[in-house]
Amino acid sequence: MKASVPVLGGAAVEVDLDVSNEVLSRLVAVPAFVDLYCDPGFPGFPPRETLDSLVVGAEAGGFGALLCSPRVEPIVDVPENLGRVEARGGVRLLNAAALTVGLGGVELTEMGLLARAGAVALSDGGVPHRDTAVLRNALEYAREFDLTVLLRPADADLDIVGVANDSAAAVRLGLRGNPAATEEIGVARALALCRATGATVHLTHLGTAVAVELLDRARREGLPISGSCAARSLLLCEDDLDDGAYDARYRLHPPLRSAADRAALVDGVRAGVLAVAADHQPRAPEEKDHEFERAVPGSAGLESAFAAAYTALGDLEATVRALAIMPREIIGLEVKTLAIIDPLGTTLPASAGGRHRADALAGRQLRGAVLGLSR
Amino acid sequence: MERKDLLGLRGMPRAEIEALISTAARMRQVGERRIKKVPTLRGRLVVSLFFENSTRTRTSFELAAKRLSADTLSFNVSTSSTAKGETLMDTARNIHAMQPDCIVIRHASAGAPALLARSFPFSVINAGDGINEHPSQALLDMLTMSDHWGALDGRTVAIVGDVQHSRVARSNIFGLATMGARVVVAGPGTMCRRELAALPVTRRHTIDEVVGEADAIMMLRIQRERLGKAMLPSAREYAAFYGLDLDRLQRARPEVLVMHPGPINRGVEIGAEVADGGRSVILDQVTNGIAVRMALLYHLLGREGPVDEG
Repeated sequence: MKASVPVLGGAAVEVDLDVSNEVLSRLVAVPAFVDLYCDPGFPGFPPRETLDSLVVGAEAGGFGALLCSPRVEPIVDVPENLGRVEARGGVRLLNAAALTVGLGGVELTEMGLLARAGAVALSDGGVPHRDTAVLRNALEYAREFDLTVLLRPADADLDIVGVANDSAAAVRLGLRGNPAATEEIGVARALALCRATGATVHLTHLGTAVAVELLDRARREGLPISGSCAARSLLLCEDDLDDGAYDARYRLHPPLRSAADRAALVDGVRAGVLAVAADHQPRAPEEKDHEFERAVPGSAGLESAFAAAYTALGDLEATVRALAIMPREIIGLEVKTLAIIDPLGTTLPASAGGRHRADALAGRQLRGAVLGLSR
Repeated sequence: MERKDLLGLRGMPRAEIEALISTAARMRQVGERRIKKVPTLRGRLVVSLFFENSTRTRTSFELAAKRLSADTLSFNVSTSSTAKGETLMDTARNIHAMQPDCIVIRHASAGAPALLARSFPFSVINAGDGINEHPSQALLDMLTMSDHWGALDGRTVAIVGDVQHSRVARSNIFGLATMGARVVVAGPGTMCRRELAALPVTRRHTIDEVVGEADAIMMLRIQRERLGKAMLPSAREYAAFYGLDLDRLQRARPEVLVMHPGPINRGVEIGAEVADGGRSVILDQVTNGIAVRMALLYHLLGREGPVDEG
């Protein structure tokens, strides 16, 4: 059925939808979302994900473009390994190429050749850099090719300590704690290097109040820096671990931080300091069927990202800015696709056809639903 | 007590702890008889599944099961067989196929017993999971204290040493708080961190700050592999600030109980003359361990069977 749906802040768009008139009357079209940090299981990890399930998940989640991490198999650290699929369905697959060879933090990649071959950003796939001198060189070098460098800010030594936020929840549950200082040190270092090199930096996976504060200050200072958090971290915090079940769904890295941190992230997104990413890291069921510490960290996120952010923010414009507008600015990208939203719908992450069972938000009823993409 | 598993003392109601302690006191009598066996769990299968080395806890559970006439089976899963790739869940599925009634598990990861408990119908007893809990140890400690004091309400228990990484300390902290006792902890900054404020404890630094106010002093074992690392400079430094020697014991209350979960490091956390002295109840703890584990198996598995036969 052809129908006309109003575009948020614009004219109407003609879409082909099979919904009741009641639902149709409340739909709105928004710029399709762009995931700033997607860690796909494709290529290389078929039990996690295939190209088809990735694209189906993205469409279901309203994503018109995914910035895919180089942490696939083979690692995207030479131009020959760049993803060959540029788009499938309504979804563009963009590549962040590795910053250092093998994501090893030692040697620089051929950033120029990678950019020429189509890489739109650089990233070491969330692996923190132990050697700050190498990181400084990488930023100096990347700057001249005008590529945004994605960094997950973390002190590399503290990063491998613990599996839960180092505070009340970890102490109560007897889980080894990872301190917020891990991230705070990483953010402070990234800001210092951004200031020193002038490279454009995007900080991923932010989870602490201090990170939001430091980022806000740096942006006011005019540094070319931006940041994002995972949509799920706007809803979940360490207290969700506290049911004694040691549920591997909540085994995430970096770990869920405190309720106060979560509130700071929500405030940061509302204030336009932070963008929001799906932080899609699908895991096969057998990777989660373990004791908490041994379960593979990560969670699917594409299908729940919009509803998670909308539920936490309660504001469609702020949600669209964080998931669609800011990501376009951060990676300098034009994506014309629209996502069709039912703000009064509900999303149940667990019910998504069993595709992404390891979504940390599974079992929750989230506010808002994506009906699909419109090209 | 409607309970399938014993995973920890966190959140366990006072009435259940009291029931276990009082059953354990009765079970102790079985060990004092010439024939140390009752038929309560005849035909039931208790499997011990230890992923970490343990002699005393494993033998204590096995002896407890045998005194209740259960069949016992012991899996010693060395770290190498985990390295061969079998997951905990697969190991447990294999054992489940042998139709056990109860699995006693020790594992390096917090929550491993919880994972089995929610995945399988058999009872699960946590015999130590990572740095989380070791509930049977805390129950035997509380039985030992209650032998001397009766009720634990209003008593002060000092726990000294590596509180941060001690599942014995944590189970005691949860259990003692429920039973109305006050827990004071002391130890090096790396082992007694500020985050412990999330638990119902008062935090101090050196042993001298707690020795005078305690009705019981529980010394934790210092793991020698931690010495000389960034966690702890040396054994003599430890003994100087956190060890319980005779001189310090003389500043304690005259009726104080000296406790230790064992195995002890003489001359490091506890002086030999203190460990062997009149205030030490360390060997009572071992005897009580068997009784407490019998009580646990009885409550989880065997309440329909008779206890006083034999």
